[in-house]
Amino acid sequence: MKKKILIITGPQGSGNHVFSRLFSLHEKVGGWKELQNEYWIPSDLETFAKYWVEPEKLSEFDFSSHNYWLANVSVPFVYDGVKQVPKILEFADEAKRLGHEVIIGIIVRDQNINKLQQQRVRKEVTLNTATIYFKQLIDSKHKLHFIDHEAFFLYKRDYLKYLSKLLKFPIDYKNDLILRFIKTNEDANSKYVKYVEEHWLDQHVWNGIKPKKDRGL
Amino acid sequence: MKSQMLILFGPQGAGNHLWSKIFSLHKDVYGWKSLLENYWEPHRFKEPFAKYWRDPKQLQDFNWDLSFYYFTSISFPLGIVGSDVNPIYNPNLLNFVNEVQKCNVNVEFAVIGRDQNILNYQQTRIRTQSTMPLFYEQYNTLPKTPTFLSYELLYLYKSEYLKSLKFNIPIAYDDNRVNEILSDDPNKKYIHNVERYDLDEGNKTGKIFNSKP
Repeated sequence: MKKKILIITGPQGSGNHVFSRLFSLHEKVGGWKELQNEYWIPSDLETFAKYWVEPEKLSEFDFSSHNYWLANVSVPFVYDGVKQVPKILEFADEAKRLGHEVIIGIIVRDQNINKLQQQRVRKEVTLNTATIYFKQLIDSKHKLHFIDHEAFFLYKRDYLKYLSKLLKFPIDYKNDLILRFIKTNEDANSKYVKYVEEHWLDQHVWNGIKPKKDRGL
Repeated sequence: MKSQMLILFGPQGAGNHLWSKIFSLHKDVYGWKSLLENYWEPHRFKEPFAKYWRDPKQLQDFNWDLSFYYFTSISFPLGIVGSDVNPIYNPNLLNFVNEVQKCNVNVEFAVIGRDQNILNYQQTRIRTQSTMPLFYEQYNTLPKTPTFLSYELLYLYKSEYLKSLKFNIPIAYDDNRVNEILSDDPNKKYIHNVERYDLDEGNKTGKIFNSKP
C-alpha cells in the first residue's frame, strides 16, 4: 500500500499548530505526536523539519510505522534560528518520487488577524511571502485543498468530518481530545475581535426587512 | 438529464448576500441576478426563490425550463428576534429540499462560515441577539454532507479559491466582477490589535508550552 502524506502549510500564525494537533491525533497517522502532550513546540522540532530545508534527504526517513503521515510547516519558517521559505514543492516531489501519495492543505485565517499577529510576534508581516509561494503550490500538479481556521472553530467536528472526506485522510473527529486545548466559547481569534456599535449598512437592512407597504412599494 | 440546484445557507450575517453575488455571476446560472446591480437587497422580497422558502409546495408551479443550473440562498433564521414588523422566522430546509427533488432537480448544499466572534457581534447588533441556535435547528436536518465555504478564504484567495470549488453549477471565477465584489473586507472593522499575548514568547525564545497560557 502506498503511504499517504498530508502536507499542511499556512502563513505564520494561521493555525499550523492547531491543525497539526488535530490531524496527528488519529492512531493511523504518524507525525508530530508530541503536540498531543504539549500546547506549543517550536516548528524546527516538527517531525519532518530538516527535510523542509533538505528535501533530497527524505529517503532517509523511516515511514514504516504508519500508512498515513502528517507533515507541517509554515511559510516562512524558522529552522535553527534562520528564517527561510521551506522547500515544500521539492519535498512533495521527492515524496512522490519515493512512491508516496501526496496531498497539500493550505490553512487560511482571517487576513486582518493574521497580519496583526505576524507584526506583533514576528515584527514583520509575512503573509505576502506565504501567498506568493503558495501560488506555486496551487499551480503545481499536486492535489491541494484549502483549510479554514474559522470554519473549524465554528463547525468543529462537522468541519473535520468534511475535511477527512475531502482529503481522503483519517481524522479522529469523534475524539473528545480535539477540544482539549480549546475552550468552548473562546477561540484564538476572539482576542482580536471587537464589537462594532453601528455600520452604515445596518439601517438599510432594518428598512429592507420591513413590509413593502411600509417602504412605499 | 436532471436540472441542478445549489442551495447555499448559513447563519445570519455569515455572507449570504456576498456568496449569492458570486454564485449568480455565471451567465448560465438562474440565481439572484438583481443583486449584481445593487450592493444590498432584502432577501425575502428579491431573492428569486424567497416565496418558495415560505411555501415550498409552490415549487411545483415553478417554471424549471428557465435554466439547467439554479442557485438559491437562505439564512437561518430570517427576521429579527422580538420584532413585530419583521418577526423571526425559520424556513424549513428539509421541506424545501423535498419539494425541489419532487421537481426532478438534483440538489447540492453549501454551508457558509465566518469567524464566530464576528457572527455573534453582528447578530447581536442587527438581530438583537445571537441566532445561532435557530441556525443549528435547520443545519442539523441536512440530508447529506455539505461543502463548507469560508468567508475569510474568499477574501484572501478570491478567484483562486473559487476555481478550486467543485459544485453542480458553474462558477464564474474569472469574471472581472469578482474583484469588485471582494474589494472591501467587512471583517476589517471588527479587528483590533493585541499588544501582547503570553504565547508570543514561544516564537521569540523557542520555549515549549505544556498548556494554554
